[in-house]
Amino acid sequence: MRQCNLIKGDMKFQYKYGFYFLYIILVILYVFALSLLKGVVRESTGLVMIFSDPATMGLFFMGAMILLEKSEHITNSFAISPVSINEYIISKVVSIGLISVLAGLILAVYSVKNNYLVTILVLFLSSAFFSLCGLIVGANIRSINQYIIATVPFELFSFIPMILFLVMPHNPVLLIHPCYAMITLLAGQYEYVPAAFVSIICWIFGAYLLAKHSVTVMFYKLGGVKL
Amino acid sequence: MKKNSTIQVNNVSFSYTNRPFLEEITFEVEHGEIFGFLGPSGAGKSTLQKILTGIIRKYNGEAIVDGHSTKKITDSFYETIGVDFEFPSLYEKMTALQNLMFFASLYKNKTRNPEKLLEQVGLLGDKDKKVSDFSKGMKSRLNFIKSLLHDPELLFLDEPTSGLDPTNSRIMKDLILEEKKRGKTVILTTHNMEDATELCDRVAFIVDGKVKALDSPHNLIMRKGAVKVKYTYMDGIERQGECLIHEMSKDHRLAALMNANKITSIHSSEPTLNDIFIDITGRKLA
Repeated sequence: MRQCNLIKGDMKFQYKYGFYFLYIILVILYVFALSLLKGVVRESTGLVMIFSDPATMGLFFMGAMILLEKSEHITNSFAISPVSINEYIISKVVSIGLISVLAGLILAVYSVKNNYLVTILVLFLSSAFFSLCGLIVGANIRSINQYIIATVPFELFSFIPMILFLVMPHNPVLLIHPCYAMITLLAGQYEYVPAAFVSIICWIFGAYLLAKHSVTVMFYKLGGVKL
Repeated sequence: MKKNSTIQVNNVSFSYTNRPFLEEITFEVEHGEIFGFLGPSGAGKSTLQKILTGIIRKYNGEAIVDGHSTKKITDSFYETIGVDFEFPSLYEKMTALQNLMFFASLYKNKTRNPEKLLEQVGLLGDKDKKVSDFSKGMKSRLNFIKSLLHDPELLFLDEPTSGLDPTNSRIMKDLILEEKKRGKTVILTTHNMEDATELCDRVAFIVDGKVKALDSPHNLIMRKGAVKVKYTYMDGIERQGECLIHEMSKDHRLAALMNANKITSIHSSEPTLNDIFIDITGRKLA
């Protein structure tokens, strides 16, 4: 019950701070852009849009959420509440994941049109991975400037596989990189589905452990930030 | 541990640098007591509060709160304590009622009615107003009742009157006394000696991570400074006399003046807790 209340609370927070509004506008713009394209170009552009935005939005949105919470000292309230660190993390990951799935699915309907169940799963898992990365960074920084700098290595790590995918679209060894695995599944290449999912889940597990450590340290510090 | 103790702290020491932050702190807090931590900034008050609330768990010694060692507490421990931080920790874009409803939903225990709490602090009429539109005093009152939502037995209050005007400060102090009447134990961290004198049953002076003195404000004041009686009388012109309160009977001039109804004013003066703090610790409260 508490977990549901936390997720509802985070969704309300995201709504109040305009996360939903922003995504409605972005999806309308993306769909409009896709409607101007046709055939393979439309599919490829749709794939790039899905991966570079709804799937990875957690990296930026999570940072924004954590910084806003820190600036309002909300993290202090969680630190002395019965909310566990697991509940805190799951709530944020799920609430952002829902926006990712919804926005990504709309774009998928207008472009790649692959197996929707796989698309939904990959969108959610990708969102979870990037949200956890955002949480690791957000928990350790105190300003937007620091956040922008700290996310650069994550962006490089995430977007290089997109280039690799264009050059080597069927390389099973590259599935070891979670983003390569995500892109292949979103692109509808289902030759290595189990390996791709195992890779993504292993990376999520590692990111979760790091995120949990970062949130624990953040709660110990108890303090705010200035935005 | 005394039967009635809510908190027992034995030889607690803590540091994360070469410099000790807390050194061999020992004290007990009884159930239903308002206990004050007084000290300048950086004295270790907040660190001690973090140890008692389980935020810091790696320390030497033993801190037992409500029967649990704070080194081993679980998340359910937070069902029994309430913490009011110095700075409001509220969602600014949500209304007062939305904030209270959300935080109440995080507890398993039955929570107090948010609207009644809002009424108690004079904010019921503002329940649908965004917190960002609240004044500092309103935010402080809202933050305070947020810590009462789950009806905790033990309250930790950090500078509850800091930055409040006299009216809001009075409201806050009355709320704290009301919680004491309801049988709650309150740990108050403050710079404000007047608040401590008025509210606390006992206070601990904390300086440089050590407890320099611990007693009731009255005993601390009485221990160090004898109360003086100052009086004025007419002898052609107005003159002034003084004597120690326990030596009034030996002051023959005072007795004669009283018999002759020549006293024009008389009052006792005692040192303040602030004077005692400076006397004991050699430090001023910043």
